[in-house]
Amino acid sequence: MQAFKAALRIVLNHPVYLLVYVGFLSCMGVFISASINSGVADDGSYTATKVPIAVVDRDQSELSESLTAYLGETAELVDVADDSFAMQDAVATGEVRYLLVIPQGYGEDYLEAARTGAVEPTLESTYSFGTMAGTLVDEQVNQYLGLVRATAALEPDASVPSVLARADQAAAESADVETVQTPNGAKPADRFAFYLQWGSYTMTAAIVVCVGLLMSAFNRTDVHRRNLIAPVSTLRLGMQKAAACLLVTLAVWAITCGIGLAAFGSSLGGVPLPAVALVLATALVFSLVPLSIGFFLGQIGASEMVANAVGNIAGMVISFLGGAWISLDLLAPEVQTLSRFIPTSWYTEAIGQAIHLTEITPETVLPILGNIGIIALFAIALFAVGLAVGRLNLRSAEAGGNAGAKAAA
Amino acid sequence: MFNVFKGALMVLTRKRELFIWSLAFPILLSTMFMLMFANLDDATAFDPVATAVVTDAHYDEATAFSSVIDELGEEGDDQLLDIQTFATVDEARNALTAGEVIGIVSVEADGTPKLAVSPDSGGLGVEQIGRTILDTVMNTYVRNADLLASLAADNPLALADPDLVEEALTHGNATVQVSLTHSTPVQSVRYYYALLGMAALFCGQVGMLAICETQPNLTPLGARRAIGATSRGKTLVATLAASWAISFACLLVAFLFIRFVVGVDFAGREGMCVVAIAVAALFATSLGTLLGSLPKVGFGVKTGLLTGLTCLLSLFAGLYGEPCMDLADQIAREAPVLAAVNPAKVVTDAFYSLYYYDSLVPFAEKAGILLVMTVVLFAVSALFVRRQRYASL
Repeated sequence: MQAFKAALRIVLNHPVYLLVYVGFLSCMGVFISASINSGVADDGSYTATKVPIAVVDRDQSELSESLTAYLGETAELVDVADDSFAMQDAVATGEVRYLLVIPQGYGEDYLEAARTGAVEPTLESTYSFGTMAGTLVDEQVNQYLGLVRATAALEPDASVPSVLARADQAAAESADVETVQTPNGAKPADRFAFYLQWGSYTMTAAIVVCVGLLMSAFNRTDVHRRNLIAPVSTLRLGMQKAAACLLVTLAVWAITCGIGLAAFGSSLGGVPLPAVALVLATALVFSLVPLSIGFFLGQIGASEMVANAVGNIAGMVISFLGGAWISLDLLAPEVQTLSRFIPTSWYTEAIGQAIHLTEITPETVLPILGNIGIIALFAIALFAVGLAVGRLNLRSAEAGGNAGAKAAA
Repeated sequence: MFNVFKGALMVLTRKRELFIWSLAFPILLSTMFMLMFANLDDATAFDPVATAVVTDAHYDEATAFSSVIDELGEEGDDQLLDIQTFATVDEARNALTAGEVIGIVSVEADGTPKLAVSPDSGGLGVEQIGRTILDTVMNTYVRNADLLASLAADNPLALADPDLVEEALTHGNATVQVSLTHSTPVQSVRYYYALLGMAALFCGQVGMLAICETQPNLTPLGARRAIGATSRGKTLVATLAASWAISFACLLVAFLFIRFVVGVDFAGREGMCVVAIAVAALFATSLGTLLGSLPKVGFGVKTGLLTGLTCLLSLFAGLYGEPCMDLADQIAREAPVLAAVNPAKVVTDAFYSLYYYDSLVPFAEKAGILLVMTVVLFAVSALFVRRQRYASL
């Protein structure tokens, strides 16, 4: 047990890594996931989206005020100062997705044009990125102004307040909307799923770094040589190191899942317990992949700095290519094909399927188990490569094997 | 002094692991961003909303409604709906369930139009906005119809002329789209700016290592240099100049990669961007100096500190996706002082100011803040590196 204890001490002597990678990154995952489906109603109904917009009203007429009031109901009004930098910032950062400027005298000119049938003056609108949202608000602006225009054109003698009152009255009507439940519709539990999918980064970085660190400490030439002459068989030493690595992996998995459950456990109400267990099991099997990567790094004799860099960068790359940062559907087809060669894509798929399980039957569970199996195969393959590389390294001059003896001679 | 500079440059360039963070990392991450954002800007750009229309007998009878829908579905610049027709409600529902359409438009037996959509997917997602656009289109029809009904009840004469009614309801676009900013808002560019902010902080590693190589208690090389004939001040200045040069070169390569390989737009102000990079590299050197000079702290812990600090500050610069970007923007609006002392955010904002503002004043402000921070960090580290006594060498 000496080697096992020593191995754990190595990891515990570097609390910065555990703190940064497991603690800090998991908390970041919670923060990011909390905003997923944030507006989703728990009863799965449809509600209209309110886009953040700003109206810069330089007119202050009855029309401009009632247009602003109407937009205050259909969209979310954000205060933006009538100042060039403030307006530029608001659209550039996406604080507002649509910015409408109502120039002085607009209300009067618009109603006048509507009454006489002349061409009405136009308003200047600015879209932020994601022009889909801007298009929606533009439709809403056009809808309201259309109602005002129609009223003023048909009743040219009516006063401004009565025109606006009639338009407002019509605008209070709305069409029937029915919500159709679809099997893949968004659920609050998606937040937990997303957290775990994103957690592929946390787990990869943390496990690769900790395991790589542990292994590399043992692989230092002098330590390695001392261990070789110690009265412990290579097998036993290897088993103790492996047990320590596995314990570290389990701990990282448990902390990652624990933080996730603490943050999003309440949203799992509608998910059957076996499905939750399946989700957690998928994460556990996935954690074996970084374990193998860390083992491999240890076997090739990577230093602490390399383990740190590889863990972090490999974590980012494989979690990204697996669709944990952004849905794979949004990526180019070549990237989607490439992602099939990365265990993370099977992992995110399995998590996504498991969280949406409503009934546990062989037909629904088997495909998920298949995905988990593929993840396990990735881990085994990487582990085998690590073993083979280790074997080659053992014979190298540096490790003091036969080649070393030859070099000395 | 030039020899010290040359020597320090050589020592640093031979530490290959240094380039993992300061060079390989930003290039790798920007490649990843390139793949990630290739479709992002298009994905949130407007696309006609995929709509199922149930063309049964009720629909055909409601000519006023069906002509509105048909018009919105006509191909052209102002096409709002991408219409797929289905003979029955069940077929349309299958398409909705399969995710082929966002919503179903149909007409009830009593002639009222009806919309069916899948549940809320939250936020400003394309599908959710598509649903709301459909909802708005339906409302426009219902509201226009209600307006005519109320006029018919109160003032039937107003509707006497059918041409006038038709004319009143058809109108041109009430808005015209203009741009307020120097360049069109693009969501993805800000992530590259945040990435440059992170890369700049990671370059602190160069300065950190450089300082460790001058400290007699940290490295054998430092010990040898301490007893050399060159004064401490000269050694430090030359070493820091070397680490600045390397940081600048790394950031410049990353910038060129982002500009020419990834193809990110810097609004034609590349020259100013190079100035920004030079200032950012100077800041990185000062940050590295401070961390490197912390007494009684091992190199491994310093690396961990720098990594942790960089990740934390980058979070508040909005690097890690939309929620972080929103958080960063919110902090910048509500606590501008906090944003101003976050170097990752300041570097990000320097590029941002170049991209969005016509005026160069905001850029000069950001560069000024970075320079002030640099001076402060150098001053603090000077306390740690000079006149230190070591119990044993």
